[in-house]
Amino acid sequence: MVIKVQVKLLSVMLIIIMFFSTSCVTVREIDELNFIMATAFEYEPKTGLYIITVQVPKTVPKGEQPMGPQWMIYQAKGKSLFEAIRNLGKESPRRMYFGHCDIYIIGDEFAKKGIKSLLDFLQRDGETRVSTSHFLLAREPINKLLAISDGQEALPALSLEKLVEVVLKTNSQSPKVTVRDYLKDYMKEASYSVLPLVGTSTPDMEKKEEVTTKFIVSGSGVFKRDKLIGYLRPLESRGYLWAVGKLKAAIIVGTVTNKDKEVKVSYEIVSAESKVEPVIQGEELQVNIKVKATSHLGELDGNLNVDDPKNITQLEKVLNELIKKEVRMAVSKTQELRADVFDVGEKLHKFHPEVWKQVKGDWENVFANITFNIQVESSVIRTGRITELQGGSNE
Amino acid sequence: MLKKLIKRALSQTPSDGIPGSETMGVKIKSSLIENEKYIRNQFGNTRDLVIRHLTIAGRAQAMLVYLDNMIDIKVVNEHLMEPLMERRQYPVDDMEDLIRTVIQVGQIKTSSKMDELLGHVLYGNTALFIDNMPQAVVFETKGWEHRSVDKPDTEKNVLGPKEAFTETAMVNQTMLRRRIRSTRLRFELMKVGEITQTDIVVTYIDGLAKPELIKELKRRIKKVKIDGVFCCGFFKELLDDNPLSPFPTMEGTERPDKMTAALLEGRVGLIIDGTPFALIIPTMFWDFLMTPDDYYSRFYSGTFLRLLRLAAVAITLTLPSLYIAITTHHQEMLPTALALSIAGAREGVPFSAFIEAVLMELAFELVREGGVRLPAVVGQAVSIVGALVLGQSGVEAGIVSSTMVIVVATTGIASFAIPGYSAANTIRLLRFPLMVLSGLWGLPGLVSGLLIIFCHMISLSSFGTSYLYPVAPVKLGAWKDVAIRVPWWAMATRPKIAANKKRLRPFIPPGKQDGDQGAS
Repeated sequence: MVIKVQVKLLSVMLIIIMFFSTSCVTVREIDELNFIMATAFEYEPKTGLYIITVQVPKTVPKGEQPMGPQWMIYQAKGKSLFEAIRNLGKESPRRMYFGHCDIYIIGDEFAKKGIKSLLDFLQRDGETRVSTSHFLLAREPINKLLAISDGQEALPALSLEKLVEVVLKTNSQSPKVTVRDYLKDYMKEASYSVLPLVGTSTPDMEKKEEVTTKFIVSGSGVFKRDKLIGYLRPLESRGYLWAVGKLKAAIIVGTVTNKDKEVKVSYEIVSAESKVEPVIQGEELQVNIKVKATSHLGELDGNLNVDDPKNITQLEKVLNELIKKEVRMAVSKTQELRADVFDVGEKLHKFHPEVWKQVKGDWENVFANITFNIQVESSVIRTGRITELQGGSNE
Repeated sequence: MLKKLIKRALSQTPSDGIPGSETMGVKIKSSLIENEKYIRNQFGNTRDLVIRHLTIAGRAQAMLVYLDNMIDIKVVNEHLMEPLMERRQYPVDDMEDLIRTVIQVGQIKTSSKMDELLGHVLYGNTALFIDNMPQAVVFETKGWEHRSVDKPDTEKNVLGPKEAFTETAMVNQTMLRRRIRSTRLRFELMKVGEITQTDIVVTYIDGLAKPELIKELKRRIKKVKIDGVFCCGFFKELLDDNPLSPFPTMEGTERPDKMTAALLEGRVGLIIDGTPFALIIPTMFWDFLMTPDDYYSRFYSGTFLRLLRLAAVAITLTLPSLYIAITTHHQEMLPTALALSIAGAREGVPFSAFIEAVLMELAFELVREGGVRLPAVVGQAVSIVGALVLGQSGVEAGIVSSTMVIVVATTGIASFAIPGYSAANTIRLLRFPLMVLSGLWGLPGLVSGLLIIFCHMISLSSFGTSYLYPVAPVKLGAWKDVAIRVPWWAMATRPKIAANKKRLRPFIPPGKQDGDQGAS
């Protein structure tokens, strides 16, 4: 009887302990937090200090109109990243809270020095979220970047977050990389990553005071493991996205001929997939990139009868070449950077381990000289609401 | 401590000095004077006792005993006094003959026991004593003022019957009899209350209700020793399997149609004289989430309403605690925009989210309680004050956050959407301990609190049937009428819980109905 009661008590206690040992219990009221919306990391080579800049929203009591911008900037320095983050607390009476930070901007100097410490911090800390937060590479000084107020969302960080997504969905000239994506790349045998580049853009208008500076996400930076080694231009970035199958949408402009007249065509790519495959041709290592693309006809500058299957075939042929050209651009640029962003090394490691053993010591040089065979298979599936815009006889 | 209380209650022997016990076994004397003396002695100087002396057939002395206003005076005057006092020759020494030939009242009972006779007199009947006769006759002359059949007050519905039980057990009994014209519908009279001697009618359909259940119910009713009962709430506690549980395991209803449905499912009804609420036994937790309207409207909308009410239970129980847990412990679980707007709303609020929630929930309970007791005209004033002062002004003054007001209002409305009033009260009560748990430990606290509640609910039973049946223990076949309501033609079997083996529900698959008609 006594033993029964003891067993009962023990199991009840164990169950209760089980619940309270799962996570750290800290009570913090929601209004005592500073929600960090964007964080920028920079490094000062002269002093060896890390600079951390965060953007937090101003919370104003209900009914009161916020004065000026609705956000604040905190900046702090430290010998390590974590110390710099803690130093933010010197200025803020509220606890800095990383749980909602979705934008991590990496400064140029920091990227060149290597961001390993940041990757470590983001995984080690309990508040940061790796699967939903985005990495961005700063094209301009952090101080300039985080100071702009683009007036579109309540917080610049929110518009940055949306921008990364929208850029991929409209023109795919810049990738979207979450912290987790980067970490996945980081752990590969041959680790290379491509991060989107963020800068500012000011429209060139007459009246300067009515012009708002906005963010622009375009192009990308290439990382070898944790260090920045070079940049890709917007079209090269798109070529890279074609090859790795991450392209979501794009507008590609080319020309076809119709009755000896040149007609400019805009293709709207709606979906794309690809396959990168290393093959051993005899003694030689080659890489086949196969791209499949589906497009709509977006715009014709000239006359072309799109009801004619022959013309469609011609359109598709031209598109094949255009895509091939972009992929080729990306390939030659990355070969020049000796950066295997297409995961060829990883695929060799998986499917031809014996070959990988031979080449991995000198992989960068081997990669730079690999022959890439690019095959593109594209289709134009929709031609829009009209077949041909025809004017009168005086056209 | 509560267990000790139960022990003490159980160990107490029924007190010896039960009033009225001295009449036990007293026989009627043959002398009229002595009988009168005895009755006067028993009733004391109560003003409503009427003893009318009369001479039957011009020679035998007799007296009528009744209580003023409890009887139908017309019946007594026209059908008792008149024929008795007529100067006609008939034998007065034979009671049987007297009843057969002279008395013009339907229900009659002859007895020689004084306590039985007085019991009838106390219930509005009239007793006739004749000199030199050791027997007396009781005539059915009940006829007191009572409330007429009205619309249900607490269980409103849109479709379906609109009459409700009243305070008179006999009227309620009639309402059921009118709905179930079967010889197998049984009303068994029992009396509870040492002083009040309240009529309890155990109602069931023979062959549908489990005999064990009826036996057990009667056993428990017999064991009840109490001075008086005047509401079904007494029985909810006195007959309960789990006297310490906050959950009700019997449902009181004032709807005869609901009771009829319960009887047809093989449950047992308990009609209590003096209250318009009859008890349905046994009752599962899910029965508190059902309304007759679910069955009267089409099964799609019936199912939708059921699911809606399940959501209402979840909201009532957990929404304030979820709010506390997430805003004070797990801010990362909120979408960014929502987190910012809650933070903005809480800006300048002097209390922590927990204190704020407890204050507002208490304020809401006060408004609700205030509104319940007040007359309808004043009730409106309470809701205006509650809504405006507590809600709007509280937010404007910065004492509470607007999100908190939304949370409290949603919780309140959700709690009103639970049809079972007693179950809703329990759930409303349980949200406070959950709020404390989540204020202390966040979601782990909330989850462990819910776990304790669920474990407790699973351990409960209502007259031997698991409280969460058929969800726990799992009986998939019976899920046809819990969260979803399948169409009537698909309810091929009776609920297993209380029914006898006989399954009498007609199962006519759709489409075959025409053929059946043709065959018959």
